[in-house]
Amino acid sequence: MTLALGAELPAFTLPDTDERPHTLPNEAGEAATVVVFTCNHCPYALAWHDRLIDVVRDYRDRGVAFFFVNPNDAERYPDDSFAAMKERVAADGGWPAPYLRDESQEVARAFGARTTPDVFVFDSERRLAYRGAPDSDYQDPAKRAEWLRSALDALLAGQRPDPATTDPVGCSVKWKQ
Amino acid sequence: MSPRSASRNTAPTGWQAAGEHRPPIEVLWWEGCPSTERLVLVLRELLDELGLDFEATVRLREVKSDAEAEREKFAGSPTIRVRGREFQESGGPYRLTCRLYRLPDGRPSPLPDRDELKEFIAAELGASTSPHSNGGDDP
Repeated sequence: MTLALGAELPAFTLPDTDERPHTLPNEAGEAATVVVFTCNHCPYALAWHDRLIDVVRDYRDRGVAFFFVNPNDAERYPDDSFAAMKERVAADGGWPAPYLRDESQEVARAFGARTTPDVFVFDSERRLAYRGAPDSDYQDPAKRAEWLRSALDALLAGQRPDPATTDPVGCSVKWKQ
Repeated sequence: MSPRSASRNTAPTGWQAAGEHRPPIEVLWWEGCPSTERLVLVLRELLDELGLDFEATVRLREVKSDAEAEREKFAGSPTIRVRGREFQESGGPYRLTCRLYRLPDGRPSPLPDRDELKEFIAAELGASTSPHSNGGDDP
């Protein structure tokens, strides 16, 4: 079960890598809110990561709030443990958006996240307006997460994203067994 | 995909001439990663450039469980071995996951760099990397 277009932003509270809790919808953006399910071990998530961080930097001062969420089973995939998440953010000198740990995987289930990455964009009314991949090619940095940027540009212009959905591409979310 | 004999327009390479019957390139894949199809396309192209027939040269094998991944020393999909030697060899862990490759500029990628893979295959199989070589000369 995954969120349908127009569905309300699921409420949640999750800790970031400094163990600070973040709560949605309390921290939703005025213009839009982006929730990206991602992780440490998946090559697709890693290949798209810099592009996504660039989007954060380009849009965070325009009323868009960003949240990265790692829901993977850390027992089978230790690279995705909370400790490993903290190490990664520290090694990067910090991220421009919180990297949240979804230990129970309840948030990933509430969203119906399928892959890492899996991008969900909500409008100013906190309704799902775009869901899918950042862009059409994980191998090509020149794509610049253009589907995500296009969705945000549309919302900032008071329009609906087109396309509003694309197929998320990446590693499957590693559910606990 | 079942291996077949070399195509008529492809001259035998060192391994073919030596009478090896098992396809020398083995691709281990897992359905949880979406890059296998793209890898196959890349392999088809670069093997054609090396004068090698894909069907005769490549064996695709699906890995379906963590136990099988451990047994096969499968560090992620896709894993590429040429005559048993692994491209960007990994020491594990062995499990059902997507393989992380590093491109020449250091970027992470679900697939190997095309040119590096081509060079690796050419070196292991004794094929020339010049375009449309008939692949018939041993180094």
